[in-house]
Amino acid sequence: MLTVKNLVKHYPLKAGRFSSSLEKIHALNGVSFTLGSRQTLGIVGESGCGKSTLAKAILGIKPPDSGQIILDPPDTRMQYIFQDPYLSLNPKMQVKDIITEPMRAADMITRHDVPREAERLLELVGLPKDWGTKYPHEFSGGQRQRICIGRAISSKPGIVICDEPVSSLDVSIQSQILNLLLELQDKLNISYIFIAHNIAVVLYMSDIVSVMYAGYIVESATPQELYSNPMHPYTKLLLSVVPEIGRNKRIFEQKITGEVPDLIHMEPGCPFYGRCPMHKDVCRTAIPQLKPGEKSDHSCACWLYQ
Amino acid sequence: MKEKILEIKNLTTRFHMVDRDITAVDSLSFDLGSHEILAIIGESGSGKSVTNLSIMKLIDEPGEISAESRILFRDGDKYLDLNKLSEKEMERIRGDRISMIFQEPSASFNPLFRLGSQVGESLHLHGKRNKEEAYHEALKLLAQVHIPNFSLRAQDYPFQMSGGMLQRMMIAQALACHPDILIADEPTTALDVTTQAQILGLLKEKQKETGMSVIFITHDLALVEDFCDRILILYAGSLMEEGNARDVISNPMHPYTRDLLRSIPKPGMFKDKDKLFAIPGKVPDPGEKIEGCPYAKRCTGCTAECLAKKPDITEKDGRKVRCFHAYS
Repeated sequence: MLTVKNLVKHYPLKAGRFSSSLEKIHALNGVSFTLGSRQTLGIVGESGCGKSTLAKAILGIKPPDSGQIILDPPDTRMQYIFQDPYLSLNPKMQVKDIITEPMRAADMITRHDVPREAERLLELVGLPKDWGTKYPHEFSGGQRQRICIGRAISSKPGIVICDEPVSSLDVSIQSQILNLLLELQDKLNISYIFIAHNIAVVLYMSDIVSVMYAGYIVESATPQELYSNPMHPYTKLLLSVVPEIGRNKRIFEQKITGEVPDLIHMEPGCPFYGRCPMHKDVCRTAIPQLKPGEKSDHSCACWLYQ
Repeated sequence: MKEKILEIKNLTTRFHMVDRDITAVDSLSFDLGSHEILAIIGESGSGKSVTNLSIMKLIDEPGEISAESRILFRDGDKYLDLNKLSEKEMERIRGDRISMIFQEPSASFNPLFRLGSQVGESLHLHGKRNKEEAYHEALKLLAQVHIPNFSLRAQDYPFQMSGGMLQRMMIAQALACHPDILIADEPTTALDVTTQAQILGLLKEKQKETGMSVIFITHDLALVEDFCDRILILYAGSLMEEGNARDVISNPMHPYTRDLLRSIPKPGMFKDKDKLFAIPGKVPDPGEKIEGCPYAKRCTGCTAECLAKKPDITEKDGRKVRCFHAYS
């Protein structure tokens, strides 16, 4: 459905008045993946790893410097669900207009159809259908995120990009929203790109999980495989520090060394070199490619396996 | 429990709004032992942050800590009621005997001053050191929280630091006067998981070294199980459950605690085989009139009794629970 090849995005830094430097932030450094229909690709990584830049590059909000984005069929619609439902709804618009806006933008309906379509969408996302004339401030965070989801699915998109869709919600609300996303995927045959920093949530929601670090995909596998056989030292680190109820993991005793890489002055070798407990000499000089390991559906970019 | 450093009795904090009163914390009682790490867990509107601002008496108009609230803080062999102290007397306690760290370290430092002077500031303010000595002390503190190149970093401004490094700086600042109690309000929520693990490690290390007590506020139940000694679970301003951390997590007595535990996805759960439990409804709005149990409307075991009357807290074997139908 979606094939992304070698996507690169570098943000230029504003040069000072007297400097002619052309420094840039290396946000995406060649990312490739494919997304099948009705599939969920999970993307997990920490802040600055390029996961949001990837989403914005795919949608063309931040056009990539190089690389290819191929949609099949080419007229597949894409939509976006943002992290913070308090910032992503226009406070001056009624909910019925917000939720049907993509349909009107795509000329799927006329103004006359708005109330009817709004009722249908509100019901679909689990809100009372007569709430269309309310304004965003009358809703709680979870309800707002339902409106955002309703808006995203209204124009019958093939792909919805969910960028941290639950991380600003209360704990008791998060699972409602995750279940709603799964339910809508079943009903409407949507593919998701599901981006989050919480590896537990990504493992739960996805069919394939890609782990990102410093603008690279460092490992990619099914969630079951990634969880039981993590290959990349960074994936292992992520799994070792994610809080987990009932496992007595004592994450506060984990030894974590090194600093996050400087995305402006990138070193030539593996970006994880500085924090990797397993590093070898080659890791400092050359970047490992993402390659399948023993199993064809489990790829990893690490010199330990190449 | 070991000796108590802090005893909270019937703490009630209200906000008098134009059209209604909001009871943010509703007659909450709990103790904090010395050398203890106590977790306060709650969602938005649970009153967890207001509880701690009340302990520090940082509640401004239109908020009010009710007169019958007791905040007993041990001072030598007697107890001081912080609720009865004047603002002048409280100033001597804040930052010295009780200090705080916050969720967003970049919002908690003054952007216009170098970090070194801010970290040592409380030593100077409390009259323990002059400015120059305070700066030298700050350098020592930065070394103790493992900041690389600390004497150079002390010259930096807040915007030059990463979130994790700033949070270390804030911990150094809070520890400057050797407080008896450190209140940490969601100290790792804004950080990455790897940084979170490092900061938790640092807090644990400092708590062991200094023997201080810690109140650790978070919304994340998964964090506290092995990090904290005891847990309080708050919901809509009321205490729902209290007990030893491990007991509460492995054997929750309140339906709310159990539902929360069931609704958090754990690594190793996959959509094909595990159904995620979702708590219906939403957190009550601030100021919403609640007759019965605050959780009744979302609870699967709700009965007529739960809707009519707010259950009292029952206590058994060091566990407290507020529910008519508590699990045993």
